[in-house]
Amino acid sequence: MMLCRSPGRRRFLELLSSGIAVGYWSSTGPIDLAGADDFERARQILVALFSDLRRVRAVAAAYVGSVASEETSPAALMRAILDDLSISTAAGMTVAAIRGIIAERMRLDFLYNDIVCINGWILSKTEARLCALAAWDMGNENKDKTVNVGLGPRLWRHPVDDPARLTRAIIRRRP
Amino acid sequence: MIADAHGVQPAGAVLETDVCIVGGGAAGITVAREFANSRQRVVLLESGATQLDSATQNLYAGTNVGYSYFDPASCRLRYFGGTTNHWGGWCMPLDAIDFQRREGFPYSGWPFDRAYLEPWYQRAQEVCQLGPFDYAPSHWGMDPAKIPRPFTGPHFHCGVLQASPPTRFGEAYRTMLQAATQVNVYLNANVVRLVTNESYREVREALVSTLGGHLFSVRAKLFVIAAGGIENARLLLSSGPESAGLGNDRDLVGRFFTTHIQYHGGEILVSDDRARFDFDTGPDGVDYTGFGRAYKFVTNFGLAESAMQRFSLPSFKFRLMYALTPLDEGVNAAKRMLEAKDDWSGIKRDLDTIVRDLHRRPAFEERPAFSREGQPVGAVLLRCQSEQFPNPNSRVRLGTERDALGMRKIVIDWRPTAADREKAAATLRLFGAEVGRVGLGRVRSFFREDDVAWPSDMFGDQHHAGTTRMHSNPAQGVVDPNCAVHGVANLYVAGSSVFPTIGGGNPTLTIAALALRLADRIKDGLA
Repeated sequence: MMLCRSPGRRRFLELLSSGIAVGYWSSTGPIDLAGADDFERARQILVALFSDLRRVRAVAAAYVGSVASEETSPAALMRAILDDLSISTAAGMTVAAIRGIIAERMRLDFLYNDIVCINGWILSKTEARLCALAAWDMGNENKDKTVNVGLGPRLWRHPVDDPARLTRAIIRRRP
Repeated sequence: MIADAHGVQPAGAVLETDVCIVGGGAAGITVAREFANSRQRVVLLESGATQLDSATQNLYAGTNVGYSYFDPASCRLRYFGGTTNHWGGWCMPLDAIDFQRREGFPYSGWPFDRAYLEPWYQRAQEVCQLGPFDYAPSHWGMDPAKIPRPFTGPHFHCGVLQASPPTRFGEAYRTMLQAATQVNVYLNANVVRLVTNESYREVREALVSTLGGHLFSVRAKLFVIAAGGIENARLLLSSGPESAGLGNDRDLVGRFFTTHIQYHGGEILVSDDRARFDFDTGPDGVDYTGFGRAYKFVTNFGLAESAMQRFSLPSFKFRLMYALTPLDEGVNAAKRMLEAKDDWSGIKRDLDTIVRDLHRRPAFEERPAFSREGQPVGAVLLRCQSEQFPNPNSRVRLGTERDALGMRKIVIDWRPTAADREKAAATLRLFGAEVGRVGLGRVRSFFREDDVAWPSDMFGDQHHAGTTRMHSNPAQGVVDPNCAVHGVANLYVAGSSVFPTIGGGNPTLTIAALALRLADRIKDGLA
């Protein structure tokens, strides 16, 4: 897979590595799913697989910079990750159970050569998609951490360069 | 008897013999020792003496015009024993698939299969001072249950290389040849030309010169060129018709110059806390005493034959190199290379966490089991060896410059192709997928997907092959299946230059096996 060189995505990569995108949110704590719909529940369960979201950014940026546009939304990523598992089913699962499913997805990815190459690292598409999903999530979570400016929407929906405008756009998107 | 060529008197003398062997390396000495107790008379002509001599070694001088390659004057040795004088000693037979005609592999296929060659492989074990002809890891004390996946299949496997002492053929067989009444070895005897009849269909004599200009010739019933993978072609091109060379009616001599392609192909990020690498002997090997005495062996890893067939891949072997902390001297270069090219150095650290999270495993650095020599392992590098596709444009030829004897110097035009690189990269991807599939960790390939370059440390090994390739059809090979030069009645070639494909294994054992077979053929023919 060739890494995409489009200016918009490159700008996103720059943001990722710059001081703008310094938000840190860890999913090791309990997940508060009260009031969340199935999509949000499933998404948070998937993101909770990671102990340190800072670690997913580089992989996420490289993956998103390299894939076709149809995978550059959380919904599309969720569909690709869960495959034949419905969102409502996933929303009702524990993190441990979803980890088992993801492990099997990754195994099958490697078996059937459904892999991506990110800076030489040979990864399953599922794990790369999970990283992308989690990186998007970094923009929508941690409402009380003001330094987080919402990388996901910046990447997929709002190709603008102004961080303030970007932040407003993210806020508007929140349910 | 072993004598100095200067003792052949008078100048211009003609020595008569049954068999004349040109070259005293692994191939030539192996053929000669088979005649030690024979009734046939043998003359072996060796360019050097018993020690390295710079003037003689300089006869190997030449130039490289293709992909960067070793200096022709330093990648082989020109004295009694030949290149075995600096040989590492690792031996293994070629795999069965290496002999086969392979799908998607142009010019592949030997004229016989591995099973046919096995009787000579068994005898070659003794010549190379090895253990029994048995390369099954389980027969060398290795417990298959302790070899982790993916090194136990289905696509990759763990194998055994036997380690020769290493046999310095000149030293090891000097006493035998000295005592052999029918074998006369002449040192400092450089063959500058094979003289033929008018039609170039039969060799009459070998013209010999010392560096001091002392000339004589050897007249024989049969001639065997055993001067090395490059020099065999050089001598043929220097003989026969001026414009073409001997045995070169089809312009094949010197073409298909092939070697093993060496490089650091990648690294493994090990995430599996169950991983144990103590099944790997490392490059120094270990002694095994299960065969009644101690024999040294070394583990190596490779692409399984089934995977080569399924994915149309050439042979691929690799060793594991452990980057210890603090780094030992042997891996410092690789470490520097990694650092220099790694502009995303954080990803490795990130992946350690990502993979650990997704597989719910403890941290890499927390596992005391993963250490070697009492030091924690920082990285596992893949030291790879790929089989090069035969390529008619990869060749050796004669240049315009001449050496001290007036022979035209060699020009090496080594040309690995894009296909070689693509297949090597594909093999690394397959290995990476297997490492991920079995949960051992993740692999980083050093082949960039957005580039056509090889890993920066890639080089061609000193396994020179293919320049007088073997084929039953004269249009596709210089020698026939018996290693006789097509179209020349009494001329044979010994050594790796006859390999149609180089396969995956180190070549010396196969060189010795083919030399033994050739000796048998010659003895049968003369009888």
